[in-house]
Amino acid sequence: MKKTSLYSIIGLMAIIFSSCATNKFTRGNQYPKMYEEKPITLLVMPPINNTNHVDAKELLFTSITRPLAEAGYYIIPPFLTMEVLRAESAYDSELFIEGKLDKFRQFFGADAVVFSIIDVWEKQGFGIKTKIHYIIKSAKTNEIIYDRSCDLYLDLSVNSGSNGIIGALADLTASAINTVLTDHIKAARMANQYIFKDIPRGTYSPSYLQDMDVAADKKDISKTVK
Amino acid sequence: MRKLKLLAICLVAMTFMTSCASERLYYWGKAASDGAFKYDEAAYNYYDKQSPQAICELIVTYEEMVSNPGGSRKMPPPGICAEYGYLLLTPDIDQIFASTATPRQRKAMTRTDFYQYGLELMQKEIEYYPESAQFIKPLIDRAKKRQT
Repeated sequence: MKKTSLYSIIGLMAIIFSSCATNKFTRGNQYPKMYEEKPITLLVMPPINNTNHVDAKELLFTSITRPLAEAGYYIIPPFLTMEVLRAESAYDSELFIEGKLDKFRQFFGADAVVFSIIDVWEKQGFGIKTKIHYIIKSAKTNEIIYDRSCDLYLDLSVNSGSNGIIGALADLTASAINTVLTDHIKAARMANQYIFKDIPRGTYSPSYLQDMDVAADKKDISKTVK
Repeated sequence: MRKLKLLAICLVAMTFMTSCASERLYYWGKAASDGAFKYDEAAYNYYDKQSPQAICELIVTYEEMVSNPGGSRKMPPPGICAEYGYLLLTPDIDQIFASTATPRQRKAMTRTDFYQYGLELMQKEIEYYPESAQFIKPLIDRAKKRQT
């Protein structure tokens, strides 16, 4: 009995450690150019929308600042960026993603520019599917310094565990209502969290330039979350 | 003795787990159950609805963030003072707030001179984040010129 509880404790510890333990990917080997460039100020460009949902572009834009600021970067205020880019007829990021970015450095003082591409933004079955790709390019060299995508399915199905036809019908109804009432942005915010989880920490983070050996996930991720 | 051993193991596990978790750098308003914060919702609604009510809610959310800075850095998140200040410089914003805000929202505001407060907030952004000066200073100058 004593041995069994000891084994359970060791098993529990192994699970805890393995969830935090390092694997072959680290922030340092996945994103070395972030450590070379050491960007401080990021300019977030309006997303490139490859879907039929016209509002996806502005709505995703509202969700990008927080994860990047929490990672320790200075983010040029996105609402102001949007106003200025609109006034300068530079609101379409498609025009800039392949071009020279030095003008953003001169005008905004940006060290790097964040581009996002929305490939999927839709309700599928009892859930929401988003596929978002982020590319951060140096405003000095135009080189890609961070590149990651997340294909995320937010499962909104309800399973109450009740048996019989009535229980199954109730679950179906609840799942349908849940899906209708949930905004796409919830799935997009989750995708953002996954995408920026492994970004090397910026100057305002206590881990700045000390997180090269922190374990990272692979660059392109696919997740189903409940 | 066995209890002590178990307690020690639990303590080690807890220490390890807390070292894996990280403290937030900034305060973004109250957290909702789905992981979003008040700022996320207010910013989203402002863009989604573009209504006077959404503007009032965003103003009050900004006010909460700049007057009660939290997180480990104990200062407003980057860009927030500038965004808030710029919003307060919008023509007729004081009238929109006066005619639409709820009593709770009015009570949350410490200032009613929106234009002057807006300029001060934009200046604060430069104080907190000097790297913002290149972009923010011309906006302050332009706003002052527009007023005169």
